[in-house]
Amino acid sequence: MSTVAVDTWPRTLETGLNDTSDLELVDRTKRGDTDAFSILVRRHQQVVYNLAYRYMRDSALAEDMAQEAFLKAYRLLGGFRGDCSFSTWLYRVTCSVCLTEIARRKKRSEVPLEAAHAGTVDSAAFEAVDMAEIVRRCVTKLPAKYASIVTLYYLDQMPYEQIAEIMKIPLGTLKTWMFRARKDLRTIIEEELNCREPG
Amino acid sequence: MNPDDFDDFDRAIEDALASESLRQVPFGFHRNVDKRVRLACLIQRQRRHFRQCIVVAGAIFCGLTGLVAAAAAAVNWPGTFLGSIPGAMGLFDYAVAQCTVWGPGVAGVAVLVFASLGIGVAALEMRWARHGALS
Repeated sequence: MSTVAVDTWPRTLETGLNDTSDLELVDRTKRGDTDAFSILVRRHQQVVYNLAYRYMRDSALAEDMAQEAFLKAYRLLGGFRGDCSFSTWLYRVTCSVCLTEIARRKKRSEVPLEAAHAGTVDSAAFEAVDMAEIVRRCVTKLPAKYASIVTLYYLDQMPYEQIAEIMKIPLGTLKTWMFRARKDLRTIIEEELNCREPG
Repeated sequence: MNPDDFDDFDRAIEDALASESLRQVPFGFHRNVDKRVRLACLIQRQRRHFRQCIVVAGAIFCGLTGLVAAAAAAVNWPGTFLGSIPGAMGLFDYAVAQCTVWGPGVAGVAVLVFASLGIGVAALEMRWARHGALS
């Protein structure tokens, strides 16, 4: 499926801020240089924000989660040993922050705003709901591990190798999970479409 | 999109997920993260400073107490002081005997209380380290 090499990803996010490598900036941050971390934030903010958005499906929440992810990354940076790339580690932190928030919301039985107003939507507006958006929202209904791999994979076609590294699982396991995730996703979407069927 | 036609359906799902483009980062995001990181850095620094102050103060207190105790033992201040009060040595012997009886129990309770406090503080520290003191 994926042909993009790990070291060339992400293709769309070259900021060209400066030539300093991530690891060098991490070292400087560990020595107390917050400006170095600021450069890291600027470099990775788009992917982290988009990753958070795909978990939360809400701009404001995604912004909060992305900020939390960076803050958590800053606090945990001392534990980053450099055995994987900084971006891989950062995306792992972001996934963890988002999944924790989703679990917290599930535990508190918080109802999303859109669901609370679903009953007031008239049929014409109901028809106009973007099908693609329904499919994307169904990803968040998958079990956490499947939601993570699907989200990461479709986030600018991240390569399997990097997803496996982020999830800390073997490549073979990832492929099995991906197969099951697609199957589950199809079932969820079918159920969702049946529920939304007028009459 | 027909759910009965699996090929089309799968392709539609694939297209829907793959076609989602990257969203623009909200205006001011970087500045907000920067502010929060600087605040977290300040908190970390203050916490470290506070811990250092406590350790230094504790060390000074222990040192001074040790010095005073050593000096008192060298010139036998308590003996001189108690000896000058009639019946005070008897009271001292009574206190020593009571300590022998109750001492281990009191020391055990004290160790339990301080250990519980220590574990509580360590748990809080771990929680702060994981979630942040402000969250």
